[in-house]
Amino acid sequence: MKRTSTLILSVILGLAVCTYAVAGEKKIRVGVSYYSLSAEFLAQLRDSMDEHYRDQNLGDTVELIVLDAQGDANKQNDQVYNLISQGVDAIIIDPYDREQQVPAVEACAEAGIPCIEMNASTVSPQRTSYVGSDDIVSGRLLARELLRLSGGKGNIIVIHGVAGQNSEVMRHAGLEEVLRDFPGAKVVAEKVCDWDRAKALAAVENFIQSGLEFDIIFGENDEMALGALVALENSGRREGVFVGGVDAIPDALEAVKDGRLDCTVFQNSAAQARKALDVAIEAAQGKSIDAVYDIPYELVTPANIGEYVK
Amino acid sequence: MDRPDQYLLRMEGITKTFPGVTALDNVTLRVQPGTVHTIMGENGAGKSTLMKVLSGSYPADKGTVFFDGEQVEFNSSNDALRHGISMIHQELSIIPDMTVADNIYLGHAPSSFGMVNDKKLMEMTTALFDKLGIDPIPPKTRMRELSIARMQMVEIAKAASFESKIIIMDEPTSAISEKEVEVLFNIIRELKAKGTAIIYISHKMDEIFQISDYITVLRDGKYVDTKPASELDNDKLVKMMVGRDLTEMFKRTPAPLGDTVLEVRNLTRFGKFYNVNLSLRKGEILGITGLIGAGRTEVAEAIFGIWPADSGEILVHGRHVNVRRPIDAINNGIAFLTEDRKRQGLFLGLSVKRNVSICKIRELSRMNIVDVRNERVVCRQYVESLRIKTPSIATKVRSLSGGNQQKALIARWLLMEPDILILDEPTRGIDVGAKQEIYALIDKLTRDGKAVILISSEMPEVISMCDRIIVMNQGEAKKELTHGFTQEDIMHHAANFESIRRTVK
Amino acid sequence: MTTLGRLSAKKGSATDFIAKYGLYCVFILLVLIMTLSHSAFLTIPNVRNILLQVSINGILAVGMTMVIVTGGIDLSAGSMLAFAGVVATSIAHPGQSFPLAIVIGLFMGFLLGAVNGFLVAYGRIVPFIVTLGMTTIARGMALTYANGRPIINLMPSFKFLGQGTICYVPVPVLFLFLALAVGYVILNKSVLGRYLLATGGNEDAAIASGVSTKKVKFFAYSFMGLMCGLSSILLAGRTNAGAPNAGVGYELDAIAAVVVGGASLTGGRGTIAGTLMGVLIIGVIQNGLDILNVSSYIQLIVKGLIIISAVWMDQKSNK
Repeated sequence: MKRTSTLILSVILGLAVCTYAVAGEKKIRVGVSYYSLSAEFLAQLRDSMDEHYRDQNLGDTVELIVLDAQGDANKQNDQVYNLISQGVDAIIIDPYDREQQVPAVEACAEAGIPCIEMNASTVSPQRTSYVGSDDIVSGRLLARELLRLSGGKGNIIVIHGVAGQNSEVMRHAGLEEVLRDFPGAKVVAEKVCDWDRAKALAAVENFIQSGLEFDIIFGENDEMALGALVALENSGRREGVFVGGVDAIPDALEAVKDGRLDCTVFQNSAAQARKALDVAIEAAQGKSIDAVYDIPYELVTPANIGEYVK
Repeated sequence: MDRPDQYLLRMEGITKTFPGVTALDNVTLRVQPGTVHTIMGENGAGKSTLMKVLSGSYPADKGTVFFDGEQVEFNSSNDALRHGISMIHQELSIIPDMTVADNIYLGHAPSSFGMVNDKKLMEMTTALFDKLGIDPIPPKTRMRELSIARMQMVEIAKAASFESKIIIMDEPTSAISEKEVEVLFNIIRELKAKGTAIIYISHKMDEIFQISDYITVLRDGKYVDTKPASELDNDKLVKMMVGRDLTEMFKRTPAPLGDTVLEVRNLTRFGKFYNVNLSLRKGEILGITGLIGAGRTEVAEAIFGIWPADSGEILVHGRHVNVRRPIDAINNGIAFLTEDRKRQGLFLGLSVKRNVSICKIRELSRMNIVDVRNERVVCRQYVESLRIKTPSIATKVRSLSGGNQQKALIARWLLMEPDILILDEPTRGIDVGAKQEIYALIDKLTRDGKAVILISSEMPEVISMCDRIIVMNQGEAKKELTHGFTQEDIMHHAANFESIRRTVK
Repeated sequence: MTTLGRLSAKKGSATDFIAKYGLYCVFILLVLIMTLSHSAFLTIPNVRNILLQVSINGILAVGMTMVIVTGGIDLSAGSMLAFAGVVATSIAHPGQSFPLAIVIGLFMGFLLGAVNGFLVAYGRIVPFIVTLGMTTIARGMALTYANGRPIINLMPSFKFLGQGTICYVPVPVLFLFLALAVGYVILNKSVLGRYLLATGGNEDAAIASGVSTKKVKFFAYSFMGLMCGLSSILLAGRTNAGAPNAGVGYELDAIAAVVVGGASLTGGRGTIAGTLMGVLIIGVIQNGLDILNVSSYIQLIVKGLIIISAVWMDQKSNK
């Protein structure tokens, strides 16, 4: 046993020395770290970037390395370290958490690799640039529209995403900010449903069952808003309640078009992905770039749904 | 003549009741140091309950225990162990992935500051084997690599390693061959000479008379008597146990032989048995015997398709059959009563009814829905004809005695209406009365036109019941004996002189 | 009999070798394949990365080994880690006591582990159920305590535990080595180790030999909890925060590592060396596939297949 371990160790070390410091390739290598790829919105982000990569014929000059941290903050940091040790030329990160991904962003800075935050930001001042939308804006847009529909007052149910996640925190912050201007409205119930449609469905069913009076359901994403919608429809309580979500996933757009869902907020993921890749390549080439590229949120209502659905 | 201080152990007036049953009723046991004291009795007579009271697993309701001059009451088997009473359980209680040395000295390994002194542990193990006269087994061998018999030897060494004043041996020879029984008896004599008392529990008469100094008989939870072994013989002992004369233990009325129903040609499974030939006729009982590991069970498993043979032919009613799985054998009218009824046969947590009907359940169903009434009727019929003692057919099989469990399994197979029954150690671990009933049943089956293969290592059973005997030795069918066979004949062919000579050396 | 024993040992020398060193062969093969596939794999920074990345799973796997050899399982490791982490970080802001935060973090892990151990050993509830219950209890406690938000603004020395290096070796890796060493001594050298294996190998036999299997089980789960406490501190140091939703699914990775390392889920078999191999195999797969830019969806499939085939091979070679 001792002999085998020694053998293994020497083989590893031998090979390590042999292969250490092998020179990089000529292509620009861009690492992309998603905190997760198991949600529709995130998959769209990835697909948009892939599309852009193909449309612009970047294949000859740029290599994309795509990683998925499967919803684990620590794993995402690990993957960024892997990218750094591979010596990539730029890193795009869609961070799981605004605090917990700070070490990864700082490690990039330390290694001298440009780090572009995409879709969500961290609190680190050391990032190269942020390409995305301001999550607080989506919360604001959704809250204002729902309150406009209800006449500026009413009881609100808030359906939360995974507790503590950046977009959850910021979207909620947007709602709270808006509520300060509407003394007639108040939050009567909150439930963490982890971005999950089925959980939101069950939660709203239970609220209805409990006899709670409410006028507005604020879904922090579309999946949960749609779950709430189904619960309302099944129990015949749809009338007089205003429901909205964020993300403008195809299902939600369809629901807005059919007049079932009151509104959603479109986050232009395609534009985010395209811009992030462009910025990363420019940064890798040493060009100067801005600290923030804002891709604005757009409110989607039955009035303007035609622009989003054919 | 009795002086209290001449006894190492005195259990007086022990009574223990369980809900609905009086397991022990005013039982006495007095054991002198340096003797082998056998406890006899049919299953259910209270032997194991008495031992569990002694070893602290159960508290007694009434009665006192004096050990080494003091009144004691043990709360757990640990407690008993610390006072100097150790026990070898009937079921091997080994830890397969630990070494021989670790198994023996588990709980009292040499250590300092919580760290095991491995070097000393190995030395102690080797010394222990040496002292007991057991063939040394490398102390670092993993238990799972040993044969059952060797494991049993390790168990015995373990019990001896505690240097207990009393060692309880519950059926210590159930898994070992005759040769190893001799080794065990030598160890027992060693221990005796050092003043250790042995409480010995066994069903095997010849062994008991060979090794015992005293015999205490229990019947139905009551104390019958204690006698020096020298004053007893087989018949007297059986009479004490069952309370009546057992004139005919074995009943064999030769049935008229019919056609050959099973023929096996050159059956081989590499590493287990080679070129085994046998034939079996209607109405016949063919014995297969030999030492443990000779390949008896393996041949049966091959015929039944549990472990198919690598080569050779099996013919049923003169037709070639391809047996790859048990279902192939069952479809050809072969039934197999396995050796280990708890592990390979019974569903202990299910009722007698479900245990009996399991193989036949398809035929007892309509459109995959079990016809419960029919199932009940059929099961009752077999329970009655086999005289299975059970409160009802809904009783869990777990609560039946060993003999009745065995009969329930036989009923299961008879339900299939097989032509050929292979019985592997059908009377192992069951008491005399139940044995007799099983023998009578086997005899009756042959008269009903079934053919039986009886695999057994109990010589009297093989000799009295079988019409022909095949003796297996190291995977070969060494000899077929047809008439007037004696124990000496069988042992002569069964014994492996080669290996004995090597081992002795 | 002795001759028979010797015979079989000689005959099976090739299979014996595979049975004994199969895991090491698999590991070397994996390393070779990865090395040939990508030049960045076997570089010193990446080897360092791999060790850093397996450190938390490795520490949990050491604890899990203790539980699994007793025939038990702990499904609550990830949640216990989260709880210990939020409690420790809540008192680890700048200006607060560093040693106290560490001790409290370790103690919280130990405490929850001890509850598991108590219920399994003395309450005689099946480990699967006890720890399944603890999974949601500890997660709920963590979310409640932290109010659903990560606890941030940690003192620098706390970050050092997760992100610092000593002589180029990352601090979590040093703790991994420490945990492995402690685990090795317990399982291979101590009396307690024999009792752990005996309890899982045949509990009745262990009791009959005078082993208090209850205390042994209690120890195993408490030790697992302690390892969760240790991991939680390192994880918080690595991510600059004590997150109440940290560690989801970590127990499954730890169980996988232990099982790939040759331990039997029915108990009685398992080694620290095997567990280390299991941890490294899983770590190398993860790191290697990332470097090879394999789709994360495919990675999940590959990981599952490797776990199953490793255990399958192990079973075959043990027959």
